[in-house]
Amino acid sequence: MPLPSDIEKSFAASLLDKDGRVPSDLTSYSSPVPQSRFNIYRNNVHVALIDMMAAKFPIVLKLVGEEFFRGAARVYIRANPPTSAMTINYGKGFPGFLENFEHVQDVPYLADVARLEWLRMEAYNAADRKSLGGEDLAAIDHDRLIETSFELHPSLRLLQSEYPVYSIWQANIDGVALSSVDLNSGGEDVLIIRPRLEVLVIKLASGHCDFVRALGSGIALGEANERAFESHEGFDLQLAISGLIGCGAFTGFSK
Amino acid sequence: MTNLSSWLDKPIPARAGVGLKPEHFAEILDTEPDIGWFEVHAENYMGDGGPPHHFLSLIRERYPLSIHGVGLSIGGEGALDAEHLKRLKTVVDRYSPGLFSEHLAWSTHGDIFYSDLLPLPYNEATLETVVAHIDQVQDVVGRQMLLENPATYVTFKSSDMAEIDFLREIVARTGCGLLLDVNNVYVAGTNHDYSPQAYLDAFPFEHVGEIHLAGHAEARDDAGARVLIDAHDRALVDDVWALYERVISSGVSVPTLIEWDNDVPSWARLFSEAQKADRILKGAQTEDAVAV
Repeated sequence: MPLPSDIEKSFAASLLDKDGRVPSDLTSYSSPVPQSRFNIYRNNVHVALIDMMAAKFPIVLKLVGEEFFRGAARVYIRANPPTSAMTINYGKGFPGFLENFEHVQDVPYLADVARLEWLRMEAYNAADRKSLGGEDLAAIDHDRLIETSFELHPSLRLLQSEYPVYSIWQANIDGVALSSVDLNSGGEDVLIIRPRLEVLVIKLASGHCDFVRALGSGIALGEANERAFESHEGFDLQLAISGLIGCGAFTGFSK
Repeated sequence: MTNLSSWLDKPIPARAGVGLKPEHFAEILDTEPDIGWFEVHAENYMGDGGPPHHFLSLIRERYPLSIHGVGLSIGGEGALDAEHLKRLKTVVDRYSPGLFSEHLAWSTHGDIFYSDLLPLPYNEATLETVVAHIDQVQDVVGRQMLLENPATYVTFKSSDMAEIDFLREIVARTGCGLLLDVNNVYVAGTNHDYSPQAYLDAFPFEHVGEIHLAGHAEARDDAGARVLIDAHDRALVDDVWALYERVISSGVSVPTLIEWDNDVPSWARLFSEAQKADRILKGAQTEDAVAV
């Protein structure tokens, strides 16, 4: 009798490989080599994982079409099957995979659209935290404002793209033709956050991304402002702060 | 091992419930339907926060809840994923469910999670592994679990025990209960050419704490034999309703779940399936009362 470990090993190996030969310990009353019955398991595994990817990357799917997406996802899952039953985290590597996937090299912005969708998923499942309002921040002593550092919302994510990734994503959400987006209009920076139940996707003005990133790494307001201003002359601190308060980005500050 | 106080604290009535789907969150909260309970897949509530927890907490305040794990790989030969078991305990602790269940199946081998409920041979070696895994789950989670009978498409040459004997032995050695999936009995009976009714006649009903009902798809194997697939994507067939009625009329009165996980229907459609199961349960309870 084969060892239980050998049976499971050959079963597992045949689930995702190309041939999918039925393991020798399997049988059925109707057919001694139950290939089509074993294929039900193979199909279940592929469909479950591909559906999982389709649910996480709906705009990528829309951009490349369902058939192509499912083919690409199949290549991805075979090369990068999930390593945990914590499937909320599965698919994180898909944007990087798309970046190098030879069949989508004529859609250079696709990987960044996938990144945006992935960050939305992260924000969706991130920890809940109450945001501070303008009145909470008004309590900060003015003299000490530049030395103050801030705690940002646990769902806050940033994406910097060489492509107009926000415009491409938003056009697809709105159901507007992609031809309305000038793909050569330059890069866009995006902030993603879920202050309450809804995930917000916000296009950032020049310099704001550097500013938020600096704050997020614990750098005090004064220095974060200087850094943003050095690299982006038009950086407007007032505008950046009010935008961040408006989307619930602040959850605490150093006293 | 069983935490009796929390068990009694949030009992699940011997009524019908349904698998809770995000598509129905808002309508359930708006209309507060007269339904006995809800069940969720633990893995869908393992994130830190966000809408899933928000809505499940609101529903939990209004209804009894059951938590059903789909990723622990209890039937696998490898050690259980301790991190995953810890996450499962976190979900159970957070929602204090009336029932907690998992599957007689495996889904992880080596480092790979296959996201499906895969079958195992039934023999002394696999029995010992399953028993050790269930002991570990009940120790870590700190309460009794129910183990669900599988829907299978193949059998193993290395099996030398009947599934029911395997289940009985697991219950005897671990003290776990059973989740009887009547559709799985019908599917497996058809797929392996035995009588679902005979299987049910031999089933240890005294250990059943919950019943599952679902729809299945149909195909043919290489030899042209009928093969049923546990798809959870449609309404139950009449044959499964008939098996269920016989189980209930034989005196088993336990919480019964309608599972509909794919091609999820409208709330009204799903609720009507639950009401049908409720009528069967109530009918048997009324007969019992008359008999007394």
